[in-house]
Amino acid sequence: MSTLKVNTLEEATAGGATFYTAKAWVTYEMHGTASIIADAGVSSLTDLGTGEPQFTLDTALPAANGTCWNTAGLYSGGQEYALQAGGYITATTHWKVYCGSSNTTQADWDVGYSGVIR
Amino acid sequence: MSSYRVIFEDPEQPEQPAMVLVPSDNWLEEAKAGLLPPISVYWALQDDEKQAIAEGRHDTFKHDPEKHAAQWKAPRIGPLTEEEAIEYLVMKDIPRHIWSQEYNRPMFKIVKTEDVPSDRQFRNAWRIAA
Repeated sequence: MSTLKVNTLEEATAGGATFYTAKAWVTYEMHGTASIIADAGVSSLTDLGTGEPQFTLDTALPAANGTCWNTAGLYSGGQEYALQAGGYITATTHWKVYCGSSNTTQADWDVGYSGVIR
Repeated sequence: MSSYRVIFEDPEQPEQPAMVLVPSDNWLEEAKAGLLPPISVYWALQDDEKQAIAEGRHDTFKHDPEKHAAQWKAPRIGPLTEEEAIEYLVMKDIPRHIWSQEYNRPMFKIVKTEDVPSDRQFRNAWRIAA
């Protein structure tokens, strides 16, 4: 495997726009015993309570900002729904997400997808 | 998948139920392959950020570039066993006041994965058993 080391990724043509990359992503489950199904750039998931996982990055971000996403793959019981979800970067080392339902109640999703871009 | 989980409580948040730390398999592989820096690298970053939070300047805080780069540039500590890696992860990912101070009862336990309840009906009432 070879490694490409650069400080900034720029578009080769057009305006030379900078590309911003995902620092980490994770596929997780909160159903039963919480677990990480697959990930990159994550050292752990912390199950904080119902529908509330927090992820710790392998390596700290340079600053505690950026953006994160959290989407449901499968709701409880393997059902597919449009659901409420949230999340935010709490520190250079963590981001925390909320797994919702069709109302404001938090729920333990069967499968969720989350990550951080900066 | 790791055989271990870490259950912990935060004495600074008594209303918070017990929390369960789940290690990443990829991270464990890195630990076993000897790819981790000394834990002090992460502590130095955590200390700086904690101070910025205490001083109300977290919104504009940026890590010192040299300390940040040490995450990749510091000499690696060598291969760890799974048990050593879990201990390292406790020190990296669980707030320091939880595991570095003595309380009148244990605030964390490293347990086998199968010892964590899979019935989550009363998840928000979980506590560490005495």
